Amino acid sequence: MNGTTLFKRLGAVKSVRRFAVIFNTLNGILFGARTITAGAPHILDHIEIKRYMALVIIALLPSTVAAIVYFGWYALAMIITSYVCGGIVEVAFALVRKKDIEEGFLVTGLIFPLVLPPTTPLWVVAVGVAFGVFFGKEVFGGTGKNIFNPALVGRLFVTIAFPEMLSASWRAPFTDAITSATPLNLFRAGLPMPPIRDLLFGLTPGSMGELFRIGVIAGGLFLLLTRVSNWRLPLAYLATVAAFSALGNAFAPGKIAPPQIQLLTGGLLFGAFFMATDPVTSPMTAAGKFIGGVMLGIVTLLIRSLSGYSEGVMFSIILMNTFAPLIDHIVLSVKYKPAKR
Amino acid sequence: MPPWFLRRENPASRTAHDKEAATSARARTFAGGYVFRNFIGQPLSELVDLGVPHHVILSLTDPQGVSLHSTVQKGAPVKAGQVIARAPGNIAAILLSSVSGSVDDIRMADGKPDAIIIRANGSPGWTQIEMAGPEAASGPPETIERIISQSGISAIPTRFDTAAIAATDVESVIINGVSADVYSPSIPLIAGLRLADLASAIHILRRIYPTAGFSVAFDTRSRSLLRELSTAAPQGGITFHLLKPKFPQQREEMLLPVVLGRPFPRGYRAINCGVLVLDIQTVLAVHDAVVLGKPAIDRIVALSGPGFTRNTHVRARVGTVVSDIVAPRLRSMGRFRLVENSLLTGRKIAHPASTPIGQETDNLIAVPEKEKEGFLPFAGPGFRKDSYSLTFASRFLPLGKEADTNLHGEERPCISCGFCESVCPVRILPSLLHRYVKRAIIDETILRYRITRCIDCNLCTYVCTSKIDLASLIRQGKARIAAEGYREVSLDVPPERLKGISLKEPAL
Repeated sequence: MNGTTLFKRLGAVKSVRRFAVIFNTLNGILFGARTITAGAPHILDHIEIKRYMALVIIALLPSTVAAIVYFGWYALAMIITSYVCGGIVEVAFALVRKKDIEEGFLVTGLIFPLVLPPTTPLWVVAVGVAFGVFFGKEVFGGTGKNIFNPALVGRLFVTIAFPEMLSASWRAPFTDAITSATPLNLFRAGLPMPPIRDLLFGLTPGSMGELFRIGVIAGGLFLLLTRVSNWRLPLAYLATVAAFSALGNAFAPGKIAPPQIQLLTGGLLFGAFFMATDPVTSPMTAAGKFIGGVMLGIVTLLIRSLSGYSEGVMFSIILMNTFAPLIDHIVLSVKYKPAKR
Repeated sequence: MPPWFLRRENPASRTAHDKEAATSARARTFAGGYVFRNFIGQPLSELVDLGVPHHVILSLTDPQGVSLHSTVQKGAPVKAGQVIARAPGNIAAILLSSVSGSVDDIRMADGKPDAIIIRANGSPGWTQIEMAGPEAASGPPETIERIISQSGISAIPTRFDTAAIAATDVESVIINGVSADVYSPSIPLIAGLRLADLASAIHILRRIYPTAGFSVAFDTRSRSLLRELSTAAPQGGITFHLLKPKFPQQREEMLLPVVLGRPFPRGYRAINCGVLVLDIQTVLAVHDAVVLGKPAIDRIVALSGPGFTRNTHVRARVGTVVSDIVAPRLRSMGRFRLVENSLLTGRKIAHPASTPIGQETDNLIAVPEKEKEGFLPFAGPGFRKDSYSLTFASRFLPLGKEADTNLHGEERPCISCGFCESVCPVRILPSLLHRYVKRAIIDETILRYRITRCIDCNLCTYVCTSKIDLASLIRQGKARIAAEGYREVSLDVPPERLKGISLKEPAL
């Protein structure tokens, strides 16, 4: 008896039938599709959502491994907590909807702990991921229908609900000392900045996944080169930040940090490569991606330089998510002008 | 001056120097599309003559869609090349028997005669076409046109109403030697040894369409052939085009804009705007008919795909049943799906014993019906897996790629990955349109998003990460729009410039 028939038989047993979606999902993961094409086209591309999401996870591996190396087993505990708690919400919804478990969660469950400070208590991780998956995705109808990036919804929720834990206490890699000063905070206070090398390797306080920036860049480029994420939005985002910060730094050097500091601090690279590029929640049209990227860059700089927060990536991506349908609508109405009557 | 992509070339102004430039220049192409590379089971450059089959099934529907009426009775003796059916209406289409023998049956489908079945007597000869011969090729155009109208080659405009338009309405002839499908017949095999005949056929066609511009389009895989042909072909009035082998470049919808720089008359055929698109086999058939007097009774058909023990080409009489061709050559292990002409757009041959090869069949493809995948199929490097995304090792290695009918994943909601938009050759947004059709929102919005531009190439379905059959949904949307009485009036080609159509007849 091979695996396929085992799952098929399990699915037929009355007492476990309500869990059939779980068997189906497992079967799909382990043994692949059992469906053939109905007609033309008779053959299909080998890309599928599982591989698509698996590629994102591979791209996140350098950041993940770095987080575990920098902050020890506690970082791993956070990731596991996120997967377990988010997974429960995901599976519960799959059971209620009687649809297969959606693979997008594998990415959300990993990204969420990576955007948290390494000092976050596990129960906050659990609450945050559950909130993010529930209110960021499931209430909209699941993957593909959500407006906001679920990991960011969770992050935003815990930032607002537990501000003292999420934006005041940071820890640099390989140290135990709690500090309140991320490089962006240092710049605001007019204090000397850590050297570029430390920023590239992430030996400064910050969220777990964003620190090892060489790995973030490598992972991000990997996604762009494999066509898993589209190059337009991150390019526009980073270029806008670089251009406007160069301009701003020339006029207000004390208020707006120079481009190299902007790009290599905070969650900018991580956000640009892994969160803003989420195809579901970013603009769909090519022109819309450029517009979204420029908008992200401007909003990020505004928040970083002129608001009460030292970091603006998360807020700007959430804001861009909100505007994505409108951006697409405008792009489409310009591209496809209504017929003149 | 119009932008470069709309600029129309003046074929007569091309000199020999330009001709050289066209064949050595960078290949031209269109935005979107996808290059299928290196699939296992490409037809080899070899040809097996199958001779005369024991029976043939000849369809009473002409390739142009005209219904023909049988002119022979059951039991009547027929000779290869003899007329056995004619069109009753405006178009003077005919059907020739492809074998000598006797009429076995007139097959019925839906209460109407559907095909003529002829039992062959094994005699390999055929009836010569009257007036044909080497001297006819340089004779009066009327003689050439009469020979072509008797030859059984379909859809070539002559003064004898053999096609939707008259010979004088032909403005342009495109000779299509582009192979851009997953599997295509070998152009070097079909054209390579017969370049002189191809040149002679072009000469013949130029006699009957003296004012038309001639274009020969080959893809970069046949670059050297194009160069040879450009030296063999008659001088002047012919342009040579090197195109990228990018799907669906081989279709007339894409040839017209890329080769001629003219918009395609959406909802109609190329012929309706005076452009005659001919494949290499048809052009050679013109030569054979006019110079050799041979009626168009056989086809070269490629046997492609992993399902065959040897991927050869066969020369078979039109009407030979598919099972007679494939049965001795299919692999014994495994279940295979037979597809006619194209894996992307062709129809599945469900009953090979009662399906004949037609005048437009040039490829029979056998791919495994793969209902199971291996262990953890989404992981793994994928040395032999094809994908538009660059996520498989196959992209970077010269290994042959596997073709099978598995979905390679479960259907999921659209995540707007944008692949369908990137490959769409007509630059519409399948991911956007499918949402409207799925929610049954059939109104001006999807018209505004140019749903009627879709040419049914099915590439969006092929690349979809979420395994959504986008092309079928778009087809449904188009059908619903047509059902609501909307008729596409192509804005690019004014209706008064279209030929051979009655304006009452619905588009799409």
